[in-house]
Amino acid sequence: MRGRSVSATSRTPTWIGFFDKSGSPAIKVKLGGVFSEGQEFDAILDSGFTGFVSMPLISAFPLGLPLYGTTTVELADGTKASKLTAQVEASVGGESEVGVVILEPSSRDVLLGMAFLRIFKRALFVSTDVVLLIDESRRPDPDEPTPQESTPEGTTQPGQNPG
Amino acid sequence: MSNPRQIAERGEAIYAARYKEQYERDHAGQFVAIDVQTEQAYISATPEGALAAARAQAPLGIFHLIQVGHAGAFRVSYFQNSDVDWVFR
Repeated sequence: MRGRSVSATSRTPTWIGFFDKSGSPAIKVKLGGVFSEGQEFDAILDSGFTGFVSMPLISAFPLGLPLYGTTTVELADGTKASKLTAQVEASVGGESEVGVVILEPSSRDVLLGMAFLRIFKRALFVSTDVVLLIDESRRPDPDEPTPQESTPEGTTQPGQNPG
Repeated sequence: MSNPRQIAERGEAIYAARYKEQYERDHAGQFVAIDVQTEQAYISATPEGALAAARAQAPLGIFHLIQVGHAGAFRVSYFQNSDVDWVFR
């Protein structure tokens, strides 16, 4: 079930993710250089990260990623930090895209950010027991009846007195 | 330049001296790759676009990536070097 694609339709296939040991939504992704064999990682889907991919520097060495240089990132406490950047090819379910990876010297996690969703044209859906990355053009239908509207007659509505 | 901080500081200095004023007026929110050796800037709507343009012109260049008008090119959801000792002092 991890990171696989389901029923390809005329739309972009849906990817099924999973929850990692910490309970974070995650997906299997293959990362590599354009000219090198990739390696598969369990990657956390992080909506608080605006970039494409962030990965531990030590995990990037064997992949031989072409170095771009540096960038400045804004941390959650508002401070800034300088990071190395490289070019990475990310692959999921037979689809591949090239983007910028931030190389973290002191992290153990591979993170996929909002740019990953934008570039792969996916929307993230997370509930208590499922992680889905769906075609971003599939929006909730505003005309779809709400659960209360579709409740059969005779059943109790929230706030109603059953007696 | 022997470490990432020095490369980043050089890139930020080039940007501030040569490009910041005009780019913040005309290209807010776009991404700029600064070649820290030639001081050339490459601008695009996306980080990938800016760095691809830079790499095409200077295959061996070292680039510092900036988002115009922002503290950093990217935001992350964590922070580092956290020191919580003050809580117990």
